[in-house]
Amino acid sequence: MQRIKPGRAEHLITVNGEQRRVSLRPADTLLYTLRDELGLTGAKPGCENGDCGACTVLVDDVPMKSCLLLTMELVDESRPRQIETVEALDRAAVQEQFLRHWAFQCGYCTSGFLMLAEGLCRQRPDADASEMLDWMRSNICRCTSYAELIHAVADTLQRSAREGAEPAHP
Amino acid sequence: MIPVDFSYWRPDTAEEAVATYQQLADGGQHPVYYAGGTEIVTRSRLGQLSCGAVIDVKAIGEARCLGRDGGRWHVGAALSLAELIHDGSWPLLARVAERIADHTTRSHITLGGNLAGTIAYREAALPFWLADADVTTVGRGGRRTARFADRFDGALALEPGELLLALSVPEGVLQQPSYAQKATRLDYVDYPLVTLAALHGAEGRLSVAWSGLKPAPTRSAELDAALMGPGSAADRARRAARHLPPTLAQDLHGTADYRRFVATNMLADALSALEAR
Ligand SMILES: Cc1cc2nc3c(=O)[nH]c(=O)nc-3n(C[C@H](O)[C@H](O)[C@H](O)COP(=O)(O)OP(=O)(O)OC[C@H]3O[C@@H](n4cnc5c(N)ncnc54)[C@H](O)[C@@H]3O)c2cc1C
Ligand code: FES
Ligand code: FES
Repeated sequence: MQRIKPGRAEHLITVNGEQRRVSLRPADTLLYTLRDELGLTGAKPGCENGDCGACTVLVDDVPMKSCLLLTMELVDESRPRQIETVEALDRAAVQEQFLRHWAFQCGYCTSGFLMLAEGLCRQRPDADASEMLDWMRSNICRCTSYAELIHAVADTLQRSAREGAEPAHP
Repeated sequence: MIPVDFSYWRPDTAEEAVATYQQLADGGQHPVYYAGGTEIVTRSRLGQLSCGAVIDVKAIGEARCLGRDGGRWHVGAALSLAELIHDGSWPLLARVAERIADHTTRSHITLGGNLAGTIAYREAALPFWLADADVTTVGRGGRRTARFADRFDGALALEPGELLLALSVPEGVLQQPSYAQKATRLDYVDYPLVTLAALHGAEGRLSVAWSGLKPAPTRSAELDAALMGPGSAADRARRAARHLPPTLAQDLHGTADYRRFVATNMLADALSALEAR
């Protein structure tokens, strides 16, 4: 049984392909570890209540809300978990389509939507429109760029299907 | 940011989890079982919950069981709603679960957390309440399997420190005709204004359970009986709706009258859909 005392201690987590040593309390959420300990500020604090998705990252390719996860849940030597933030994306197909469709205004929600869309492209490259909408409803854009966001993600899926290429990996 | 710190425990077995809970509780640590964590993390951040220790139950193999054995379908309490939807063995459970929260959050929320949590809606309980479900828990007195309906009446009656381990339903239930509908008021992703789940039992009886009306789950044997009488779907729905609870929730999501109106229409929709099969 794993047992961690209260208070700060150093632990290893895997972020964007690298093992990182972080100092954390058991009560720290992944959102704060990423931002305050690792300087990865792409994941944004919005509601911190699981509602907005601005903090979305990938854990083993699955979109997760980093404000709802204790970093300690991902500290597991027997099963190291792969955390990916928007900083890992390097001109991914979905980023190109966000640019092409102007799928942002203020940009605060963008990294969360990018990670959600990246997760969709990896997990469900054949998703139809209704499945895509089901995923996209996980996040909120206060500037209401929804039409552009949906066009950008639909185009990413369509292009990857047409090209028969590996979808959207960084 | 959660202001108050706690210790973190990850047991490998149910018995270890329960013993750890007892030991921490006896030491005045105010432990909580931690599953998806969505309620614990958000309430702790808001200062609505203060615990000295969290016991993460997701490494307990039995709490992650999924499959058929001995004529029943078993499902572990620590499985996420996303995993249950992906499995899809029980269409009614999958249909109810896929309207709880949003796609991403369903990868966090667990079946056990939804059933045992303090947020009253507990929509995932509806299918189990309608089926002849069993619930297995582990507590101070050891393991206990009971009828879900005997331990759930809108909320699950758990002793302090009792761990919800798994649920099961007879395999035949998985194929029984069923229907689910959720109406929300503010947005598509929201807590329910009204959620209905309906199951056509083996002996041809239709039973219905609700979330959002009170807002904790409710059901009524009188309402179920009224659905079986003569008349059109709309007539029977109106007759059955007389057995809805006399006082319904009245909140941001809708007035009590509006809920009654929506629930009556949902009953008619459920009858039409199930009888058209
Ligand atoms: C964004 C969002 C949207 C939501 N939308 C809906 C919705 O549409 N419908 C709905 O019904 N609910 C909804 N919820 C509520 C959610 O289902 C509950 O809060 C549920 O408790 C979360 O499950 P969890 O696994 O994260 O629980 P946790 O936060 O881990 O635990 C919640 C409580 O349950 C206890 N617990 C957990 N597992 C066990 C176990 N195995 N044995 C004993 N006790 C246990 C914990 O000790 C704690 O008290 C929503 C929540 C969020 C964050
Ligand atoms: S900040 Fe995590 S969901 Fe809003
Ligand atoms: S672009 Fe401003 S919140 Fe989405």
